[in-house]
Amino acid sequence: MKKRRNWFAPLSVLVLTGLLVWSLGRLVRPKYASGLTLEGSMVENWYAHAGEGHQVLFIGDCEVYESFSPAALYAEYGATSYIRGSAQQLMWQSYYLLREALQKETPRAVVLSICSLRYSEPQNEAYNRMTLDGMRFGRNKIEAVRASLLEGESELSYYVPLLRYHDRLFELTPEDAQYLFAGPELTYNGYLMRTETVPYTWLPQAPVLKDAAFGEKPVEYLDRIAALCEEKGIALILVKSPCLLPAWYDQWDRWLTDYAEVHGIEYINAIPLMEEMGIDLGADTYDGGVHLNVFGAEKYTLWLGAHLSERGLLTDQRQDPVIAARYGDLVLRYEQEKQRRTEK
Amino acid sequence: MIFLSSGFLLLVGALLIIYYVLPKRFRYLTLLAGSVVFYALAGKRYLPFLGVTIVSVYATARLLGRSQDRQKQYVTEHKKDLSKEALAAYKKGEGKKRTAMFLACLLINLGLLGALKYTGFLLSALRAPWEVHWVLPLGISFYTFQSIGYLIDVKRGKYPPERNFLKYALFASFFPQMIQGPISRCDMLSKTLYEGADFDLDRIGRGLVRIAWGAAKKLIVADRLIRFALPVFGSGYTGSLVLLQMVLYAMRLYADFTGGIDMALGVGELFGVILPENFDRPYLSKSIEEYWTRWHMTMGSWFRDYVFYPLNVSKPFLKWTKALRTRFGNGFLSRLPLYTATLVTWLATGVWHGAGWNYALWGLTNGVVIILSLTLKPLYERFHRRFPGLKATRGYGAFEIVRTFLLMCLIRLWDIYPTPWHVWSAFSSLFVNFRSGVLGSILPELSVGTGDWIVVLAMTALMLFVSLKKGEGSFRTKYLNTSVRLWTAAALLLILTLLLGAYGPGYTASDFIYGQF
Repeated sequence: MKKRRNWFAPLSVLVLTGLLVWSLGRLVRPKYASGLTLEGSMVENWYAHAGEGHQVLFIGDCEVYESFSPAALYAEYGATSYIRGSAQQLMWQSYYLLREALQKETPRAVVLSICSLRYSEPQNEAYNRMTLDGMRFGRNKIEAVRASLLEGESELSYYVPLLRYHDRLFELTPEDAQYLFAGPELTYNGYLMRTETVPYTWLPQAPVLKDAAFGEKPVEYLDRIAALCEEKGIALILVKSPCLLPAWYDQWDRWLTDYAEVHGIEYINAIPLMEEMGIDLGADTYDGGVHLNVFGAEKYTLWLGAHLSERGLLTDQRQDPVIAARYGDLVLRYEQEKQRRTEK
Repeated sequence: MIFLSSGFLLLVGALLIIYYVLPKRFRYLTLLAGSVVFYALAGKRYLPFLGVTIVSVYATARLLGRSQDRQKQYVTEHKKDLSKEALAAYKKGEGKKRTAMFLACLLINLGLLGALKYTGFLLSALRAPWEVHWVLPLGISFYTFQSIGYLIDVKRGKYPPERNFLKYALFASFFPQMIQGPISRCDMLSKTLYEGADFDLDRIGRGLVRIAWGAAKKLIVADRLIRFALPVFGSGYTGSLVLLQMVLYAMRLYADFTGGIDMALGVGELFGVILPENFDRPYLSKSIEEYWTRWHMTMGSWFRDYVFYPLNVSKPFLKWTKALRTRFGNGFLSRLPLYTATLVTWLATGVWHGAGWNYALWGLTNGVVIILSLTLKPLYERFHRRFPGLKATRGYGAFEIVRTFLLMCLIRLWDIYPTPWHVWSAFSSLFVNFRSGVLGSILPELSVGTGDWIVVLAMTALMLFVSLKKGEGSFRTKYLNTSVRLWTAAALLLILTLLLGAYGPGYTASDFIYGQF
């Protein structure tokens, strides 16, 4: 009896300390709710929709979350989808995010951006953070963090955000309290809307490619993604979005064509298909051809939707009342926001 | 690997579990294994140096012990059949052998320390055409001095040598004290180091509070103050900035060094090992002599017991004192041997801190100030006889504390500035170029925000509060006397440190200042 009493104080304090450290970590963590960088909360947003049974899961970097519009896909085909994307999401990060998603649901198709194959190593902490901070603690996060750590970074700080962001204590804003327990929902099923138009006029000439081979690490993770999809019976589609910078080389295109053929999967390079899709980089890009704006994204999405439909990978679920309600709201919110922004 | 790394925390956590799972008689082996792992993680190449010290000191101490036992036995057996002279001659002969062994061991260890630490400096001082950059094993000054202290104690017959090699190896290498001390004495430390402590949750709680308090001082104050680097204008110094620099450095050094010692003592406490206290509210000292009995106490007492006293009571010094007294009476000149012993001790203390003229001059300055203070003692006494009530007043007490604090800050100019010329320029600027108005324009330009100032000042106020409240005893014993208070304090300190500490990107990972010695 005495021993139990002895343990009571330390254990209670331990639990309370853990809760406090967790809450303070939530408080000081950047919320990415306003300003120029909004991409940091997207990975976390997915958990609210995990297990909704999406037909299509888009995975990758800005070439998915600014190129595909799940709202447009639903409005046209009645198909549900979600984007697990974040800024400069590296191939190994895409693998772990996909593996985590597939523990909750099994989509019919996974559309993977292969743009990040160019990166053999993690590039910088800020991008790492925007992808990994939002992941829930577990095996997937641990492995994703270990694969992504830069020299000098603390692994522990990815699990205990207070260790990394404690210095924000003196920079806190009302947003930090507002989004203490749930980050801001700034996307439309993972799509980050951009409505501005800055036409493509000129881009710097691509530097000569010294070594056409992709690095071992991203290719290894691409293999793992392909194996995972095959194991689950999911159609994997590799895509290169119609974005002109950074440059996409012919050698890479050929490598991916061969890779897709060997593995029996589909690879779509959308750059030469822009005309077919109706994409005009004079109007459909918000930053001179680097990323698509909402109008370009809708065209690209509808083209892909038609393609997936032809392959029998989409089903119209508009008759399902739960989905109709959920996606009705999504489309309404999406259209209202698009209208509000374009009217400005 | 430092106390604040996740590797160290993992090591301590693992050792804690293994320590209390193992039967009591094996527990010291856990600590030894932990010490070896700790040292190997700090740098495998350091291990041979530590090994040389452990083996040489252990073997010499055993030989000394055997010689003493042999002598005792011989004297007991032959007390009746040998004359006093014959016994004295035998003792002298044995004593000489022991001294030879002792000096050989001393030579090995001080030679190793000297060669590794001072060769580069000496070559540069002698303007030699070549340079050396030898490895300096972590904590070599601390473990060498601790081992030499042990050897001297054994030679003096203060206690018998440790027979168990592994136990001795643990005494010499116990990991919490390897970075910056404290410098322990074997007879004191062995009481708790070898016996294997019982599992006591409250004691572990007290240890954690001490670790968390140390981490808070180190990370919240010491490391944040690194940001407060003040600019220097042209070739000159501005007195007001020098004064601010002195005070900030004093705060940083205190928080850094006492923080590290708190962590070392706290880690020891987790395993029931009582390491000696190294500080007793030194900035509340009223004189420099008092200050040096309250700051880095284990180093001070080491130099006192193993350098100052042996020198001051050595035959040549006693003869010298006697000769001076006969000639000059009890005046200043008769105390020349005492002053010489003081200066030698302080020179050694300075040199122990590092290889550089500034360390030697720092030590000598301390010695000179202490001698001056001793010499002027009759004047103080006459002054206080004239104003008898003054010394008892709070105001005068505060004056003495501030005076001692500022005096120590001035001596530390040797620590802050790189050359005697810089030290002199900084010192003289306090009197000839103070320009207090400069502060107003400089402070806003520092790369520190209001938050930094608030955090540093609030934590300093908390340290002062704890110092004042704890009095002669321990704050934890006085105020954290229930399990709930203890664990809550540990948790609050941990959270405070995590939240307000200066660590992570944007900060230079700063090792403990005393680790470099």
